[in-house]
Amino acid sequence: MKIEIADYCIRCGICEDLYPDLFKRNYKDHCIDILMDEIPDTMADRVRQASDDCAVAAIRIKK
Amino acid sequence: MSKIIECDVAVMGSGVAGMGAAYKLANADDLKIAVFEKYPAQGGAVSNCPMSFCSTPDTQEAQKSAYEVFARFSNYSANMGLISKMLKYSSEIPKIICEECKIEAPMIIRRDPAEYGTQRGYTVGHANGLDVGDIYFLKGRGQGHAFALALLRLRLMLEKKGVEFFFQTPIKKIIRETDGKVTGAIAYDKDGNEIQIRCKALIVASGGMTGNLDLMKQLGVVKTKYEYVYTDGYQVNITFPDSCQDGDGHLAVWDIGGKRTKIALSADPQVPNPGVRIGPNTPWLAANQVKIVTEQPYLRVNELGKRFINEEMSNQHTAMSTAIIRNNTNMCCFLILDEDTVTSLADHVEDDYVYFIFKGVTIHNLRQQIDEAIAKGNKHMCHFDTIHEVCAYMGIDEANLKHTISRYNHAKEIGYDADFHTNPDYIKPVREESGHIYCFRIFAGGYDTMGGIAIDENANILDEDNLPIKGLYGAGDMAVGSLYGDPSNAGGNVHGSMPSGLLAGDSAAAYVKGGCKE
Repeated sequence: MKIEIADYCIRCGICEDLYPDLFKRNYKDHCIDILMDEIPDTMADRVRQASDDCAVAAIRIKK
Repeated sequence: MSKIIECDVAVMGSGVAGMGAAYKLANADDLKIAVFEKYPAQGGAVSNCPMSFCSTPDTQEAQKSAYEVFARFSNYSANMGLISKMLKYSSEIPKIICEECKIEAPMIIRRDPAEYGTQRGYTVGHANGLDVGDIYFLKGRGQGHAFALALLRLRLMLEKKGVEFFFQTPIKKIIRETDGKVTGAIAYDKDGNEIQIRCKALIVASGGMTGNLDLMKQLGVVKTKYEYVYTDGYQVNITFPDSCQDGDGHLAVWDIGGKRTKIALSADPQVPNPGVRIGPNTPWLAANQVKIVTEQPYLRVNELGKRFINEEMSNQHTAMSTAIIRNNTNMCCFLILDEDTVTSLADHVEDDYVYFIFKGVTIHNLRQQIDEAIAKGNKHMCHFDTIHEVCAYMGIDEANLKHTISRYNHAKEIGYDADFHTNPDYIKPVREESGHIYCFRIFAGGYDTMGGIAIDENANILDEDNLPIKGLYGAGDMAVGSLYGDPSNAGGNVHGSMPSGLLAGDSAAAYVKGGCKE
């Protein structure tokens, strides 16, 4: 499982606020860094919740 | 050679004002519209805040009552012709946001026009702006703010209508011909390559300048020994730390002769964030109890140890921020609580003093949050056994504070606050005997800066002689001085920003098509 961020992400940082182990705001490049290349199955529910929590549905899960 | 982009109307900024302008332009037939945005995405400051907006219904009674509130509030120093038009456009916000962008409004408070102007703040769910209409509470997606989703949907809708968006492409210069007309602008792409924009009209809606501390200092907007709290890591402002609101629009307008008007920091007092917040959205998460506590209407003093405002204003962000700026040389104040009050917060938080999404919340681990923040380097909150220690740590005049506390506690005893007329129900005595004293240093922060340019009743940007600059329009936070008289009164809100954008869009469309908008 991988995470992708859609280009219409508004970089608000809610994902980092709630899931700092998965996301980090990159102020220099105005983007969201994904902190894990491959998401372990044990974190699948957490990633799905992060996707649901996004303000603009920009967090996509790629299997 | 520079790249050239030709369009009928160029829009600088894609926040709620710029998008409002683009919305109207897209609905005017046969216009080629281009929106230039410095940030990589649409939304501006509004993406990070509003879950509610105020809209004045399009009835004679509502429009007249709202107009009269603006007139009284600004003592007629606002552009009252502009107010009339802005209020009319305000009635369109529900159609755009709720019907076209399909954002749910699970709760709508229908206000009686006869009662406009009698409430403000969280009592009507609206911490900024005036009480001049119905309040729509919106449902966002997930944990996000509803306007973030609304403006994304608006962008997608506008793109389908042919509006072109250029992100990470800031406009830096406006082209004004010798005959006084604006005919274009210069922008730069993300690689720094120059782009010539050729247009018949330009709408400037680039927001504030909190991304540019040097400019704010130069203009006297920030003047404090604590200026470092206005830099990225401290995030006193809620807008994204890299929101790209750097004052480009102000500088470009002033450079071609636009009138310079007063600029103020807006709304929503904040405790600087190290150890409190991770990102700009954290203050809105219920887990951040510091934010909720610092909204409570309890004892506030300045560095002199003196009260400076009726503490009930703590849920009226604009009033509190302005008072903080104007009553303290360091643009900050201090909230002081004792252990009894902190203990009581576990049972009860003043319900009119929490953002509506936090209704019913109680505070249970405040000292733990403070200690965690201090451990992470936050120097803007503390707790000690004595008032002496609090004063020494925070830099408050101890003798004055003790005198203030004595009077404040006495006001509670007699049920009357002769100094600031704060409701005795909200007066929480501060006593060392309770066991502990807590203190938070709170700064005027908020959404961004307000003001800087002036517009007329058609949203035409004015020059230093109060004459409209042909082909140049302005909207949003940077133009609020024309709406509220004093930008400090504005607070940053959809009710002011979106209608001014809608007006600018209609006016620019009429201008380009050969007729001045009346």
